[in-house]
Amino acid sequence: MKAVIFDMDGVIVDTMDLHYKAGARVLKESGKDITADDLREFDATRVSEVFSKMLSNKTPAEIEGLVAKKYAYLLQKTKGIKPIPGFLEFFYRVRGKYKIGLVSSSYIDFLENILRELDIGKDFGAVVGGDSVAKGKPHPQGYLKAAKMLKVKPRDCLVVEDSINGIAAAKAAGMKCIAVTNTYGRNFLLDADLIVDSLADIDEKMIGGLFGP
Amino acid sequence: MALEAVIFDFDGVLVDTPAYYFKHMRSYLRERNALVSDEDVSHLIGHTFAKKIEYLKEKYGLQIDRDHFVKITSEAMKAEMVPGLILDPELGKLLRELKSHSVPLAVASNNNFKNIDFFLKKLGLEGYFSQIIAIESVTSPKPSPETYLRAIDALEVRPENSIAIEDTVIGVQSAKGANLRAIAIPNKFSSLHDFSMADHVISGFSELSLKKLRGLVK
Repeated sequence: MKAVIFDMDGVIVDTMDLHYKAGARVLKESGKDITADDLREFDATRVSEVFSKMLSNKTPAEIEGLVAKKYAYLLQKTKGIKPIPGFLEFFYRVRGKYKIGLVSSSYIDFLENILRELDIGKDFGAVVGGDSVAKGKPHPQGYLKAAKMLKVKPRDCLVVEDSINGIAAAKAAGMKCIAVTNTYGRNFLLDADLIVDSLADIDEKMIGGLFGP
Repeated sequence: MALEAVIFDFDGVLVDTPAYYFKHMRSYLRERNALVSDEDVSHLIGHTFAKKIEYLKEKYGLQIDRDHFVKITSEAMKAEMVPGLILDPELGKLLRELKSHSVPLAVASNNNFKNIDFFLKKLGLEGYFSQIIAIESVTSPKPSPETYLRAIDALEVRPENSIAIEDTVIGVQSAKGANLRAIAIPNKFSSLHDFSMADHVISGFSELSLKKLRGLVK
């Protein structure tokens, strides 16, 4: 194993609700009557795809404008955001030992903003956002791109995910995947190589077991 | 009974940050017209930044911006410490002895992961501690027992067979609250603390060895 690649939302910080609220606010302003809860089923899907689907009369340029608006709403809410318990414990166990990457459906400015807030940005050798790739999760493109940026083979990468689409993307990329039950129960995460309730529970032995001798 | 784990406080135990930190804290506060006494420092040592700021606000009526205070005082301290930073040789000897006998070791601190990681690397202590419990790991920092409860939980050891090593009464309270054995190693700032709660008080790491630690949990 050479690298650990994290998903962000639901793994590092809990911004899902902020995402849904900001998304619903933009959609409502565009005349689509929808609640934050309705957006949950689009978990890990890029916001531009969700907006295009819901607002079929808009041009791609208009959609991009709305996406920018959503992120503007979102950035107002991230000052002083706290990491999910267990993340930093694990992060400081692996940083320095392995290369570190981040692959998320969120836009790259938002990702970098969160990493700055948590004061861990310098450790990330690759940050891949939803706007860095043509195809979002469950497509493996994001994870493959991160491996390339980190100059490691996909099979030497460990992905940390919380969502069904994210696990699918990691496995399709040929990577090992640990799922954490921050967002979904174990029954939804069975495609992962290992499921934990807190990232603080992961030790070197568990990682070694995944990669073999 | 056998010794199951040794858990070290960080600041003032593994690395002598207090000797430098309080100097820079004093100069930061002097610039804001607050002259901090030795007694103040004795009250503040071991507490979180948040508690320190709360105390200074109450006593000196200072409005301190947390991020700015932490950044300026910590950066100045690190810049001064790093060039001559060495591990206390007696502490190094003890850590190597414990490690060679596979005694699980952990860090339990009111400091943050970033600072702990920074100094552990500089001191060459990476890989010595199987668990690190930092300020971000807990809801209630020391003197609450949560930090030590989390440490023994993560190490999967029994508290009564585990030893905490602390330099302040705040740390000893946390350790005793979690039912660990506590060794106090006071420094010049905490020498006036009441360590009667501690199971043992030492003046330096030369007084400790694996044999001695084993004796303390019998």
